This record gives sequence, C-alpha cells and structure tokens, in this order.
Amino acid sequence: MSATTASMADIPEGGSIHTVVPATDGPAVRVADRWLIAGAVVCGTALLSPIGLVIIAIGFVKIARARKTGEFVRPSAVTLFGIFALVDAACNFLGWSLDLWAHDTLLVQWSLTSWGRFVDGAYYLDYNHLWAGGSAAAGEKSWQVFSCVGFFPARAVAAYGFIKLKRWGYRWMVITSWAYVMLWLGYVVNMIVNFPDRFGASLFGVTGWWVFDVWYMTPFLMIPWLYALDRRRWSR
Amino acid sequence: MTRTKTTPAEAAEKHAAAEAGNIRKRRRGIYAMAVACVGFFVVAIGASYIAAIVYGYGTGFGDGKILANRMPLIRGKGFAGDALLFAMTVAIDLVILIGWYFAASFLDNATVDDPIAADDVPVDLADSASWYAVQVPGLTKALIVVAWACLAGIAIGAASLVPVTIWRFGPP
Repeated sequence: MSATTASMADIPEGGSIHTVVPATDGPAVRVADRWLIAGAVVCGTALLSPIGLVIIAIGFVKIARARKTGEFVRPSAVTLFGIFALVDAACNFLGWSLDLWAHDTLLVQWSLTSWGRFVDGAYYLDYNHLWAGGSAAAGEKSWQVFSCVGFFPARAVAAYGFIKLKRWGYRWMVITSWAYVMLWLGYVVNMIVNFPDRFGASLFGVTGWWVFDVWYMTPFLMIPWLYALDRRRWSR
Repeated sequence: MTRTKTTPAEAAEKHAAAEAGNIRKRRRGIYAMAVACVGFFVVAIGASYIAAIVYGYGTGFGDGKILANRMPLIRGKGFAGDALLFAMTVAIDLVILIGWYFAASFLDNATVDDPIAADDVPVDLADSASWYAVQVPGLTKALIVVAWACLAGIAIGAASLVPVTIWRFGPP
C-alpha cells in the first residue's frame, strides 16, 4: 500500500490534516451535500435533468471550497461515483414508478407511449390493457416491480449512505452494484427474446435503445472501483 | 518430529507476504472485472444486432416499424384525478425509500461482532491514495471520465424525450 502516511509530528495544532474520518461532516460539506443530493433528485425528474446537472456542478464547487478551508472532505471520485449512482437510481426509480403507479395519467401515457414508439414497443403496444396497467409486456412488468419496490430505492439509499461515508453505505453499494449487473443481464435477455415486440416495433430499434440506455452502465464502472477502495474509510 | 518455533519477526514477515499476495490478487480481480464489464456490453450490443439481423431488421436503426393498430387511445383522469395519481406515486415512492433506508442503516451498522478495522499507521485522508487499498490511479481516472460522460448522457437523453416527442408526435 503506497498511501501517504502522516506521522503525529506532521499534524499541526488544531490543524487541517485529518487522520480519521470524523463522526459528522462539517457545515460547508453539509451544505454542499444538500446541493448535490437536490441536483440528483432534479436529474431524476428527467425533464429537468440539465438543471439538475447544473445544481450538481454547484455542489462540486462548494465541496472544493470546503476543502480549501481545511474542512474534512471525501475525495472527489467518491462524491462523483456516489452522485452518479444516485442520479441513475433516481431516473430509473421515478420513470418506472410512473408506469407502475401513474399509468392512467395523460402525461405518463403520452410520454411513455412516445418513448415506446421511439425505441421500445413494450411501452405502447396494448398499453394499459393488462389489469396491472402500464406496459402490457409481462416480462417488463415483472422487472418494473423488481426495480421500483426492490432495487432502485435500495440503490438510491446505498448511494446516499456511500457519500455520507456510512459503513452500511459502502456495503449496500457493493450489494446493489452486483444486483444491478444481474438486472442488466436479465433485462437485456428479456429485450432480445421479445425482439419483435420490443426493439422491432419501434422507430429507432436496437441502435436507438442503446444510444439512450448505455449511459446507465453505473454498476459496470463501479464494481472494479469499489473493490479498489479501502473500506475502513466508511466508518460512520 | 520436532516443531520449530516461529519468531515474532518471522511471523510478521509471513503476515506481510500473505497480505501482499492478497492485494495482488485483488488488483488482478479489479482489472479482470473492468475487462469483463467492457465484454458485457460488447456481447449484449452484439447480441441485439444479431437478433435484428435474424429478424430481418438490418441495422435496427430507423428500420423498425410502429404498429399503429396496437397504439392505445390516450386519455387521462382529468386534472384533479391525474394530480391525485401523481401525488400518490410520490407518496408510495417515499414510503418505499424510507423502508429501504431503515433496512440498510439498521441492519448493517458496525457491531461488536463486526467492527470497523483501524489503520495500522496514521494516514493523511486529504491524500486520495489513502482511500484505496489497491492503488489503481489510471483506472480511476478513466472511470471518472466515463462517469462524467454517462451523467451528461443520462441528463441529455432524459431531457430530450419531451421535446423530441412534441416534434415527432405532437403535444398530448
């Protein structure tokens, strides 16, 4: 391990070298975190996501300022990957829960059936015709329930705990990253097996779906990186 | 058969060698996972295009078709009904989120049977290297670039749906 070690003599009186993760964040980091989390939630609304990105950028600037004042600040990579996971979870959680619970509203029917016509036929073919409403593809509905009731809220909670350096945050980030890989695997197989009713019944098909969805590759980026981390830092 | 005693220095040496071996294994695992993750997308995207070819859709871009006869009639529940459904959705989502928050934070706290290990020597946490058990700065930098690109991709993709829909299919 080649991490810089600090001898006790190096640490200035009341100074800015932190050798242990403090039990709570300082005031500047707390404010910055509010911006970051608010930005991730705004990103999750889909329509306002560019504004969410701006709010996240403000959060990063505030974190950088907090670091300059000597307050304890986690590394930027930890913040970035945590927020990335939170944005991803928020977008998927909200999008799928709209289809699951609010499929009778005009806006949801209009926007999701348009999404369906663009890249995924499951979102317009016989939409709202099953007793559960929303997408009428049985495979898609089971993934939705898995994702909305189980997976994405757990992932969002894990991302929050991760950036707050909670021990359970790190653990649940690892657990949900593996679960997300399984979700990707099952979901892609479901899409390909139902090709004629999914990719095939849409305007932009395979290429359109991948251009839109490849950005949700969060777990594939995070799993190698999570295992490089020193988990002792997630000590709260 | 006589047993030789291990001195503390030898034991420490053995421990350090075992630790170095474990870190080496973890580093290999990390790089293997990174390659496997790229491999997943190559296989998944490749399989999608193979399916497109098998079903006679060519590249799959712009040569699909909308089955208009299976498109439902779009109608909501009126302003109040729709607003109620949206409010209910937010409420359900919040309840589920809170449930998972309690599950994760209550069950996985540090306890006497599962304590948090302390550092062997004091480290400077301002140095980002002290946050890694396995130093992979090159991989981390590459992943950071991809993560920013993905954040932008998610935001642009999600925000473009409504304007593109209005342009292609008209307003609701």
